[in-house]
Amino acid sequence: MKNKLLHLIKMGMYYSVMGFMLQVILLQTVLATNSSAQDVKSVREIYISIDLNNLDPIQAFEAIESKTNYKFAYEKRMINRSVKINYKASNQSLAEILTEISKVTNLKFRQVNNNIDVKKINSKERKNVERVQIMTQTRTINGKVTAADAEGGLPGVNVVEKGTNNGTVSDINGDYSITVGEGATLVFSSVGYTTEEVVVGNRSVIDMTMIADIQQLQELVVVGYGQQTRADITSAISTVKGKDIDNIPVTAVDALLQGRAAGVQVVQNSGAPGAENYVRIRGNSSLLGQNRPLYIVDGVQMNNITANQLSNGGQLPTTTNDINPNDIASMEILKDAAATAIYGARASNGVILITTKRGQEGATKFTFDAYTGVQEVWKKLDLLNAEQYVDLRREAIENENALVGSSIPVPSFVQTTGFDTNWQEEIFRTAPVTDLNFSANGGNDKTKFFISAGYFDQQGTIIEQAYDRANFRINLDHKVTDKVKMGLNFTTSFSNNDQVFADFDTRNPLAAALVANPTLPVRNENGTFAQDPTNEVPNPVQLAKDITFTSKQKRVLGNVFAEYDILKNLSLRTSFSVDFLQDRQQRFVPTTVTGFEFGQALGGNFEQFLWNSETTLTYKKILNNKHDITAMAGISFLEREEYLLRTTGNNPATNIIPTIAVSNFTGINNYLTTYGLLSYFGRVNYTYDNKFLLMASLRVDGSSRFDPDQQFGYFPAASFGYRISEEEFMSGFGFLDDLKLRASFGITGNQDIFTDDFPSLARYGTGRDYLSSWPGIAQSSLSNPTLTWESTTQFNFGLDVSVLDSRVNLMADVYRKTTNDLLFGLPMPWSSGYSNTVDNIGSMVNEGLELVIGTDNIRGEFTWSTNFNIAFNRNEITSLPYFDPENPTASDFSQQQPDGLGTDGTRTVFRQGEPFGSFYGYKVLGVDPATGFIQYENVDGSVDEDGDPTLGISDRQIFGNALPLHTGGFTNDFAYKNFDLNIFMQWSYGNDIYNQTAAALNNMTGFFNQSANVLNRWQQPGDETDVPIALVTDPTGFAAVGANNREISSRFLEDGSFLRVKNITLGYNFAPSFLDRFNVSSLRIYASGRNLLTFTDYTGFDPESQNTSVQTAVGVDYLVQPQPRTYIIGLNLQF
Amino acid sequence: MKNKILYITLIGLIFSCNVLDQEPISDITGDNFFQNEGQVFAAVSGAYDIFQANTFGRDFFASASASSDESTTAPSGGNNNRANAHQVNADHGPARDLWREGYQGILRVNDIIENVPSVNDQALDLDNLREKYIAEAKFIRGFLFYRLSIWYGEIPIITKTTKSTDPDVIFVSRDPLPDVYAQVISDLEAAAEDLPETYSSELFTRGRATKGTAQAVLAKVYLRRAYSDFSEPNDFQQAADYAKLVMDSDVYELVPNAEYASIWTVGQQLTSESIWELLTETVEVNRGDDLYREFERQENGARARARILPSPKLLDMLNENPNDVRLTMIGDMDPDENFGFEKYTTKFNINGGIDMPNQIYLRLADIILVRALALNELGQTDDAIDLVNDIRDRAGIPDVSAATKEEAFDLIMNERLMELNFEGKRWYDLSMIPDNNYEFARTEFEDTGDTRSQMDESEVYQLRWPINNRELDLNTNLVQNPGYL
Repeated sequence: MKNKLLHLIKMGMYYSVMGFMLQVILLQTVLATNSSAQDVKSVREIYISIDLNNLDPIQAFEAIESKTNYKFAYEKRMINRSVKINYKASNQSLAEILTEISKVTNLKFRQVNNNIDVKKINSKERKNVERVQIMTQTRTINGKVTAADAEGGLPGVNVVEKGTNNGTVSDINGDYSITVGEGATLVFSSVGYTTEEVVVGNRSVIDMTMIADIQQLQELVVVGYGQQTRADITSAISTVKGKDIDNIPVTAVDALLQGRAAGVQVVQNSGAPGAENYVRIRGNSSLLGQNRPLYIVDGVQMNNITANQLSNGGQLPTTTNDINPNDIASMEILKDAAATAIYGARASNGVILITTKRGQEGATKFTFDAYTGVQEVWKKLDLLNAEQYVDLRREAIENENALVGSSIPVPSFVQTTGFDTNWQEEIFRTAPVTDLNFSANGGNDKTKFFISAGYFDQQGTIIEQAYDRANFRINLDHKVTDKVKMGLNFTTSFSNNDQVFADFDTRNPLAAALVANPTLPVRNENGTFAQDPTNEVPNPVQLAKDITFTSKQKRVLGNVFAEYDILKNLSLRTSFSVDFLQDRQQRFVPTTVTGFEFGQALGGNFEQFLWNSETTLTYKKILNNKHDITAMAGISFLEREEYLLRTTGNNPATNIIPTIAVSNFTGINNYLTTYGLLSYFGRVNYTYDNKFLLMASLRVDGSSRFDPDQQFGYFPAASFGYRISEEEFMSGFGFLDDLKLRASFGITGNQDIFTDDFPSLARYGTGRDYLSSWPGIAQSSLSNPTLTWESTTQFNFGLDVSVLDSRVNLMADVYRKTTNDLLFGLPMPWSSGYSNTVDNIGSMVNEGLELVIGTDNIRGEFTWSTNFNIAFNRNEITSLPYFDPENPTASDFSQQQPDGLGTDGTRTVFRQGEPFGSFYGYKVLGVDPATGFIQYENVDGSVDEDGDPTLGISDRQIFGNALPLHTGGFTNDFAYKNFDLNIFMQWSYGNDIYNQTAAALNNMTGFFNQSANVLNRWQQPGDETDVPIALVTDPTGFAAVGANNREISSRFLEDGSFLRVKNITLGYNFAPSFLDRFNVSSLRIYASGRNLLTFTDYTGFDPESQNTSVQTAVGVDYLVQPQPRTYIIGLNLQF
Repeated sequence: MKNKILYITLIGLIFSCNVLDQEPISDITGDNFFQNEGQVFAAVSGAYDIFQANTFGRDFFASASASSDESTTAPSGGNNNRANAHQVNADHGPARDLWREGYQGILRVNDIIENVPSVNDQALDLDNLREKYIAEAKFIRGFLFYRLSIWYGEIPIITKTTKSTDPDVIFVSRDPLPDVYAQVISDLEAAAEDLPETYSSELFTRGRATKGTAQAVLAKVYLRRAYSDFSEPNDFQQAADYAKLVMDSDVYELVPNAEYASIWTVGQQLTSESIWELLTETVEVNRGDDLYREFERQENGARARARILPSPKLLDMLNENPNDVRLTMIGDMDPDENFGFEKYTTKFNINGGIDMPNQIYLRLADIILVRALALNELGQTDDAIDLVNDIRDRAGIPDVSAATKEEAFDLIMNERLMELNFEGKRWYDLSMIPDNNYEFARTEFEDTGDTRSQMDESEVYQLRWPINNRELDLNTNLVQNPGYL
């Protein structure tokens, strides 16, 4: 599999390069043809006889061409071929014939030498049109095209007579020759250069010097507290443009980054609407602290973590859902420390800057975007049917009774009933998704605006799941005077998430559907839901239908700002931002659900309020046209408050009213906490002659989370860039548009440890009550006054190359990130009375290589461009407390995931010298053909007298790792005439997945249904298989000493590599000539498919599925709802 | 206009000051706690709370029952199955949790013992309140060390709160059993000295530590030490004497036969027989491992799983006398073997299954039989048998007699099994007699009627629980109990 993948990736690379080469060769010939100027006669002088019998215009032209030397030039799509010409001419002038054709077809003709140009007669000219124009008074122009930035002639430049299809292309030396009519204007154009027009007049030699259009290098990139041109960037920043992520049917903004930016790993762990995506920039830099990047939306820090979200069992909802993807102009991902250090103590995990669209000067433009489609689960697991289930259950009981001499009876429900319920079919569904978005923008030289309203409605692929959201935005810019500007960016969003329980929760309908007894019906004859006689598995359909579980979020995010140019070079900017999130939560489990006879009600209200005031002074000066200095200094105040009020109850008086009001209260939780951040920051950029680029910055952050003596942290950064392509000695390399070397260094911090605002204090917790009338309080944490930030030092070296008219752009970065003072729950022996305490311990290194190659493989009428990115990251935990070189495993820290359904929770282990994300358990050697028991590997190879491993808990070992060797994306864009086609592929290679779902479906204990894979189980001595003997309780110690069929082991480890055709979109743009009639400026319709193909060996639902409830555990797939395959159709309309 | 912008900016900056000055609002810190009597009272409540930890209650009762010869386990018994088949390993959940929560409780009481002497509140000086609170804390500490030492053997004695992460402080070693018992006895005797005989309410008298509670535990501690290889000369006498103090107290009296069930019945509890019952208000519903769920018979509701079932041995013993009141505490014997234990169920409950009975930690019948064992060992076999017959009279079954000390020992032990079934006592009794590599326990397991639970000589190490691997990995000063890999 791994090789197959590599091969595919290699082939992809190969084709892009080949395409590019091919294109270079073809460039000379694909465009216009040269025309001859000899033997020119006017169409009035040519007399022919011709019978145009029921011919369409093109057939007519061909008929004329066959009888004359003239060539017709036209755009095919302009010609209406349904018009038929019936005209018989005998010895008439061609001019007359053309005039007749013109009358029928509404076309006009213009003879330029032997070419006849065909054009449409537009509505304004209808009355007085010159149907046949003749220009035989021609002159031939010769000349040489050169480029301002290169020696020698410039080949491949289009030279066209304006207003005609008459044109040529400059040859390899830059020379061209063209014959044009009197009074002609020549248009010189070439991709990568500014288009030039020259009036011919009476000249016969016209030389042209083309000026490079360095638009791409001049593209503005948003950086922390400012903007820079791409050419001036000296740090590692990826940009994703709004247009690349438009119209993709996902809920959250993060998902749009998937595969688009090198070094940004985005995993869509779950198919549940609104569930969080796993986003890591350049790997994990913290063990227990925050690893999510910082999000800044138009300068507003966004709370992307909702600490007090109602747990649904494994997936956290994300608040990045609240940004409407349609509003986004661009997203910048700041990766190295030089880019991020200006955000100081929050920047260790990278920063994502989201910039939304702003108003443009001019008439108001309206945009309407809409898509609608369906989503479906593209794979279902193969489970036992009713008969196979009964066979397995009987066999397991018989096996165990025979083996251990027990007399476990076969329960009465283990028999076929005539029902054979496929529970997956009962809970999955094909679900619709719709997005509607309307925006308007415009303004004058004083005031510009952008407003939008959007509505997104998505149902889940599990019955009863639904998510919908309404967004509104206003972005306003107003010029008060020439020196004073003001404005605002505001968005508000209302969402409603009807969830079902997920992952580890026993109320997860998907979990229940996989293990539910297939001999049961969905409903009894009287219409009530059938219940499992073992009381272990609630009815899956009932779980989805009868449980209420909603989260309604309201969000306001935005800022007001003012800018004042105090002096010519000095400006002041101040802004005040807020991010307010309110989440109203409601949960109700009626008393009719198995295992919940007391019912369960919960009502909660959670609020997060963050305000931030920022003021910056910026000084800009250019000296002697060579020294370009920009200096910025700023101060920032930030405060965040979290508030929770939540009540729980049970024993509801009725199941009809699903609120806490009619229940007995069992608990009330009220929580209020704040933290503050005071920051000073500054940055200097210096550019010498556009060649040498220098940047230095410093941020000083003070956080209330630490003891006053430890409150302030210093986060410096510096970077250097050298644009070699600007050097004189490089002038010989004309193909080289840009060559820049970059180097950077910086220190960033991480202050987000757990979800706690006072980690350094010893605290006493309430709620330790012996009696409710006698409330109890007890110590809950140890104090640690020396606690401080995690600090990450990062070095980055980069290379930017752009060659051949920017046809090939390459960006390469290598980096090394070292995190010290890792904030970690220092494990305490339980004998201390604590389980752990927060401390700065340990260090970790991430190093990697990122490569982005963008190529325009074919330019012209048919275009093909490719963007390929690949990122390699290696992680190693380099230091942990209590490390003993004699016994490297002694300082292991492990954390266990929740368990359920007869499985043990997986363990992730942190071990010095090993990477983050290691799986820990037994290694499996196979199934003993003689006994059917699994043979687990003994770490030191020791065996007992029977030659079996003497397995003990100390024989557990690291048997896999969840981190990929590389990840990447591969985008191909094609356009031909009005069609555009986008194919986006994405992959992950070399990561392991612990398929805990398979562990639940292959352990064969209890009375759960199992995977069809257990049909291969060992049944009699001699059976060679990898599925062991079925045992109903599978007591520890039968399979091997101290281990059983359920152990966490390499048996359930799978290769998680995949290559996915993530998105294919085919669009059609209506021609402007067609849209003119409706006063529409552009209209595009498209059809798109997401997750269309997945190449993987993974046997679970989806190789991207993973649980997110335990922060340290990555790559564990336990009953995660898979991502859907989605088909949509949509339109983009502008008027 | 320009100046206005400057002013607004300036005002904004001034307004923003002091963001670093944040105080915890929803939390209590070391600086503002232990300031007055009310807070001490809250800390004591917090100390008792440790017994309400779900795992704690489960392990004291369910694991002890599942491990012993009074029960077998149902196929879906999970951890109970491992305990029942003596296949506990170093990753066994209940073994992990009991250790962790036991020491969490010890931290809480050490905090009280350290801080209460210096709390500056006159209310504490009235009626020796300060000493009484400290005595309660010492009782809990002594009780926890005692129970932990039964399960784990030699354990670290920790009498100070943990204040730092200094390896010399936190990486403790096991202390020899004689030292552990000395600490237990010292804590309990100090507690017995200062604790009141009763509180102002019956709820507190039965639900909190009293003089009688401390004396009852002392009787059990001395008895256990008397059977050990580090016994002191007067241990049996001490056990007998402390038991006598409890029996002679006006506070405790056996409930009559007709009211036997009231000991476990919601609304009727806090009986005169009860020495210490863990006060429980409502069931924390929907937890997979609730104690009662392990025992409750299936017809009591879908929640009940009947994971722990009475062993044929226990049923045979009780069925010898069909009128034995103790049979009423075990559910009907129907053909599907759908048993349940009313000691933990909601049969007697009136609030729709929400209320859970208090768990009975100590009651007089237990202490009477402790005295019987001690007297028998002291050669006063007849007196011992009289005490057994007191228990049998109450149960409504005929008297017994014993010719020899050995015969009497068997009678007392059987009576304890029948009287105290599923109260978490039997497992302790089995491991109390270490003679001849636990010959007593091994013999008792032989006629359990459940082949899985038989114990051969190589399995007696399971009479002690393992220390969890995490604890061993972290603290290399700790050594695993023999037998565990």
